[in-house]
Amino acid sequence: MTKGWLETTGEGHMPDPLISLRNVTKTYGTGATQFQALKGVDLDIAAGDFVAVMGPSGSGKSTTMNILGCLDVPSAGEFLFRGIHVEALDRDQRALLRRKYLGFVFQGFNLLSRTSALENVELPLLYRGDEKKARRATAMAALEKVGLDQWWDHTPAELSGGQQQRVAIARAIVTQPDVLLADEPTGNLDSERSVEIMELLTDLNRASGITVLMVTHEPDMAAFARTVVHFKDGLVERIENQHRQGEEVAL
Amino acid sequence: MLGTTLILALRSIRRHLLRSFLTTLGIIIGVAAVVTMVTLGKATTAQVQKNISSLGSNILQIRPGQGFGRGGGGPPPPPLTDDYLRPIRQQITGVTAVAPAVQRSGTAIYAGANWSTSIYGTTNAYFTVQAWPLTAGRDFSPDEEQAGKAVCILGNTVLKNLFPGGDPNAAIGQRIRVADISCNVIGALSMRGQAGFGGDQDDVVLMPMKTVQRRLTGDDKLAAILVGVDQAYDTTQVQASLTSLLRQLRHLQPGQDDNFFIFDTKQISDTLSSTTTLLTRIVTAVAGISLVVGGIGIMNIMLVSVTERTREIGIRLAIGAVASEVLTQFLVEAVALSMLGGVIGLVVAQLAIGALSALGGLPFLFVPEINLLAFGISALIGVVFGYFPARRAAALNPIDALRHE
Repeated sequence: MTKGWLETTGEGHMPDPLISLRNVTKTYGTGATQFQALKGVDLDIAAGDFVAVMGPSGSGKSTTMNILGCLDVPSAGEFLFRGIHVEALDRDQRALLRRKYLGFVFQGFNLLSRTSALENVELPLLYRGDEKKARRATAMAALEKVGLDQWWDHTPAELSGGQQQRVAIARAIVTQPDVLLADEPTGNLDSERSVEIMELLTDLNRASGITVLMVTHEPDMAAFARTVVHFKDGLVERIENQHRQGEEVAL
Repeated sequence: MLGTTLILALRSIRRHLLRSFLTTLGIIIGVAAVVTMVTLGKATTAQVQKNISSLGSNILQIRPGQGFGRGGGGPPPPPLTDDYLRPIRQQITGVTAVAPAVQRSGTAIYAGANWSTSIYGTTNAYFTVQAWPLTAGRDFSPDEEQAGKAVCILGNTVLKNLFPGGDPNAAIGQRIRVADISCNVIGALSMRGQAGFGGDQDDVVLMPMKTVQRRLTGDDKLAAILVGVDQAYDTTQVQASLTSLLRQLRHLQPGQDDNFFIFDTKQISDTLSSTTTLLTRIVTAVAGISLVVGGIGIMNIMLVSVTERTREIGIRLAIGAVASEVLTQFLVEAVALSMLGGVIGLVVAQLAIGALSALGGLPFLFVPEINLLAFGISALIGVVFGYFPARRAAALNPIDALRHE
């Protein structure tokens, strides 16, 4: 497989906007059961932003996230990521894009069972082809960032929900991606744990400059984001920019 | 990339030991059952054929009457006598030797040991017809045959039971009592083993025909005449000329039924061979069924585990694995487990064959074709059913795979 198209984008070069959707539509099914989930979405996301995507169920926010995560493709329209036309890529090319530039955090954690925290975090590095020693060190460093380096040899069953989600975050950031996509990352956690996770994401966004895209339906969690995108009926309803909690002092 | 998938596959096997074990078990059972059954079937066939050939495949046996159990009413057929021996030997082509047989049962006694056995009265021609050499001593002298002297030659079973240690040289020259005749042991027969019908051919004492007739049966009737046929001649042709000679000797008119019958040990061996061939076929069919059953077992485990692993596939795809990498991992897993199962299955089969052969007195056989075939088919089933469901899962949108419950 040729990787040329990946290399042309160049390291460290961050186009602005990092992500842009142009008149993106997504239609599921055919004929009578046809359902248009997205009806022409336009959205620009700048590098380093922390975006919360909100909206009632069926509003198109999950579909948008799947497209932004290169897991799904638009039915029509353009999706530019780092200047690459993602809608023109095939499955494997999108997989390589995910491998290199994207990290995922899911509501249900989605760690591999019976697999230690360290090996879970190592997984993306394995697919990237890192040597064993480098892999261990990088994965360990990522676990340290989320405060779980002491727990490296525990399997998901031996970790609490909050710890599992932190392992998932470590796995998502271990490859130092441009974008971290989080699909209701606090949906399965109590409020105290949720705040911890949000603080971790905020820290990562601020310290590493990683762009965070997060779907949530809890305004408390959305309050951590700098930009909130509201979806309704398959369209972007409004975008609000907000000062983040505790950021007033810094600005 | 192969190194990575190898690591991933081995990790996955290690983490799901029970699942891996069950998959492997299906293959182990399939391979072991097929190899064991087919090999034992072949060993049985080989053994039966060996027994048949030890029976002497070119002997025609003449007995009075009309065959086993037939010819109920009417006067008993005239007996066979030793008057027939000379014409048979002289007038039939393709005959190597003609031996009379008179049979009685009796007890052989020596120094407090006694053994119930069969006593055959015959001549030296018997050794030629049966192709049965002595291990020690000598055969009957012409004088002993003519005069009906009290001498005997022991079969191996009798020898072992009368003379501890079964040393033939210790027996020769000793006097033993056989059915109340005191006789001198002059020779010992080599060991022949079980007959095709299960009887022990070595459980016999041979004496000159005249001795048995005069001192035991009290008449000049023969129980049977054994005719050895030259390998170069067709036994059915010899049998036909024997029949017409005997009809003439017994003054039978055309249209009258034979009052004797001839059976051909070759016919019997042919029948037995075809029976054992049938047996082997049945065993092979049963083995084939067990392979299919084993295969379905493998299939089930593989399908269940892929359903169970669809979420895992989703995770791997989301993280950035290319579909072909996930597939290769599953393929490597399936190959590794199938090969492991196949090898263990073959080892188990050899152990089972060893144990069962020893138990059934069969020779240990190793049939390369069946080992290869069973291994190949099981491995193929394992690989195919490990691979294709995984391919379906890897073709899913990662999001759908992740949501899979």
